[in-house]
Amino acid sequence: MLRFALHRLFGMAVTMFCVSIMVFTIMELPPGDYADRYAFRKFSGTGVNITESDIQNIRVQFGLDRPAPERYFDWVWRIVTDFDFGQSFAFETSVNDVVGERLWLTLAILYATLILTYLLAIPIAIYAAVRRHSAVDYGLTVVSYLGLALPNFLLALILLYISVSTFGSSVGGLFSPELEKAPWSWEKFVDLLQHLIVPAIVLAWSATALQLQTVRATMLDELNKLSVTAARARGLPEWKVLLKYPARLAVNPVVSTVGFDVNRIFSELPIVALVLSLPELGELLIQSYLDLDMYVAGAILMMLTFFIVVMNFVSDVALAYLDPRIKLEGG
Amino acid sequence: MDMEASVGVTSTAATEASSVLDIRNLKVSFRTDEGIVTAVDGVSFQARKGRTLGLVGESGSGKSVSTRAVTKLLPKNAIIDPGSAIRLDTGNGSLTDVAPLPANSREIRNIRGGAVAMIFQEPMASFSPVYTIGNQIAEAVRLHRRAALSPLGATETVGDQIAESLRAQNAKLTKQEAWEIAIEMLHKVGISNANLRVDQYPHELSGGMRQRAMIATALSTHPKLLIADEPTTALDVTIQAQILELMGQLQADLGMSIIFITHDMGVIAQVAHDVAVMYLGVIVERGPTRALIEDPKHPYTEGLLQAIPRMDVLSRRLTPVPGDIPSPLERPAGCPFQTRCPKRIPGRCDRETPQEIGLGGGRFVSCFLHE
Ligand SMILES: Nc1ncnc2c1ncn2[C@@H]1O[C@H](COP(=O)(O)OP(=O)(O)OP(=O)(O)O)[C@@H](O)[C@H]1O
Ligand code: SF4
Ligand SMILES: [Mg+2]
Repeated sequence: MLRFALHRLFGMAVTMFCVSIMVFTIMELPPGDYADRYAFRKFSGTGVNITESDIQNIRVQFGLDRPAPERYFDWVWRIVTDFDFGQSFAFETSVNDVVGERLWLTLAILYATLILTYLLAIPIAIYAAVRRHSAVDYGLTVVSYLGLALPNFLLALILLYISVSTFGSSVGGLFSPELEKAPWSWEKFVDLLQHLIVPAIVLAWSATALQLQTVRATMLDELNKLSVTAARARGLPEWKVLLKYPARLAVNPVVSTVGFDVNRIFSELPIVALVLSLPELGELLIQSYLDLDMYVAGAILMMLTFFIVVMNFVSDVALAYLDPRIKLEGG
Repeated sequence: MDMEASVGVTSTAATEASSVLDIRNLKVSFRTDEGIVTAVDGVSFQARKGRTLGLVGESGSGKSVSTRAVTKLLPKNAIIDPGSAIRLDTGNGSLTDVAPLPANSREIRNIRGGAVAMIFQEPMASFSPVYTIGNQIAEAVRLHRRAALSPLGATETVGDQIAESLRAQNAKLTKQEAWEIAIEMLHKVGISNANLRVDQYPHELSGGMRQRAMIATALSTHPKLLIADEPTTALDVTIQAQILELMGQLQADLGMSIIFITHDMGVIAQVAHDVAVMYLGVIVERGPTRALIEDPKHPYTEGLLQAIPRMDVLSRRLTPVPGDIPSPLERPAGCPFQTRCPKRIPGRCDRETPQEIGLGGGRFVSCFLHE
């Protein structure tokens, strides 16, 4: 198990290395560099003329005169050692300040969505499979087709409309206005959880629909296994039979697609965030592309891929734990 | 394998041994989209202490359904007819009718793996791939074995019984104790390095070893009756012979009764003291193995045995009887076998249903030819 985990951990490091090269290449693509922008900003702001040598000075000051590979290693080194993602052109401050809280709020949305998805999909699907052809089972099929068919920005708008018109509350944002700038407190935490519900429902919607179908199908498959009959024939109480044997295996496809779900949540997040005006990374990422604010974009891309890679690792290890047949193949 | 010897046992002590299971007029039907399908239509047979009953018959004849009814391990759409009696020795030495008990009752759960253990055709699929062999054996052990069982007959009064059951509840084995028993059982079924094997997953064991482990699981709780549903069909011939020998040995050691389901008359001749031949949900003939093989009375049994020219080349499969088995949805009127019977009496066999007739010597047949 340890060897397996180390093996996957190494794979993760290699992935991150490749991703960092790709991200850095993307950052280098737009014409001009930070010095040009700095000069242009200063010129447009103050009208003071900037000479080529001033720009060159800025380049030297920020180390931009060095060749790309050197700057790449410098960039990576700072991230790894100081968690320093460089400077934002647009905000004229460090990327860390710009990204700041949005990172944690994005993670809050991510985990709220994942937890909601699995908390709904797994028990309901298992119940529906055990009570096949029951009202719950048929209801589930209808709901999950609806879930797959309805685009989530539409759902976001509907929920937004309902909560504003019937409850008069603001679903936009992640905090109530009066708590927005307040320091962290229990009250603020509860406020955050309340605001997380709508985005989590919107983002969990289609994933839940999909996972309901997968878990139900796997569960039905597992219920017919001879090993389940054999467990019954040993005299194990029915609920223990269900939980110990088929249910445990029915969770496997969910566990193995955690990384996929994270990926999908990150790609759907910007649109949902736009509708619900959530302060998260996806929206900032789009904004930074528009501003050609490449260090911000680079930082966000690195962070998002890092979480996908980490969740993939967690999923691999969890799967190896759940299914002992995997360990042998994994090495 | 010394077949003569094992068949020889049959002729002695045919009726003395006490019944562990006594099934009378068992009828099982299924609710399906096409209507009610009767899969088992009034069968009666007994399984006796220390003896093996062979259940033989073509696919779909109702061998699995009639034996699974004993532990109520039937699909949800199965109905056991209220006129059926399944009298079983649940542990106290006397027979109780378990037919009316619901499948999810505590009593049935105690019987499963307790008084009645089962092994199945597919050793590959009988164990869950995600738990160790030991885990699955220990599960059975902890469900049924108690620290110290009081000797038989010690629980006479109701008060005694309550005290005993309370004590039994408390005396549940620890995981460690159950694990030890699992190792001991693996050792007993001839698995070498049992203390290592116990920690392995099913996919790390060969098919033959898995079936041995399955037998170990079944026998770990000292059942009175072992139902073996084609336990060797999926194994190759050498392994099959080893498993059959092992089962015979363990039966001699533990004195349990075995119901052995198979398609293979050769295997029956090797392991069974008594045989029941099933066709389309009924037992057409039953009796001591040797007598039945040497002198079959029912035309279907004759057909089954015709494919076997000599007693020493018995290991042939059953496909000899010409014609197809009718679908259980379209059961023929009269004798179930009349559509394929070479000795059919026209005007009689297609109108009346033959009843089971005792022929003496523990033999029974359902055919008008023997009235
Ligand atoms: N779930 C079910 N629904 C409807 N009919 C069923 C169901 N299970 C079994 N049957 C019917 O019961 C009959 C007997 O099946 P059973 O499994 O007992 O046969 P078998 O003698 O064990 O055959 P095999 O040698 O193939 O195992 C079958 O013909 C089938 O039509
Ligand atoms: S009763 Fe008639 S049809 Fe049935 S087995 Fe006997 S002879 Fe054949
Ligand atoms: Mg069968």
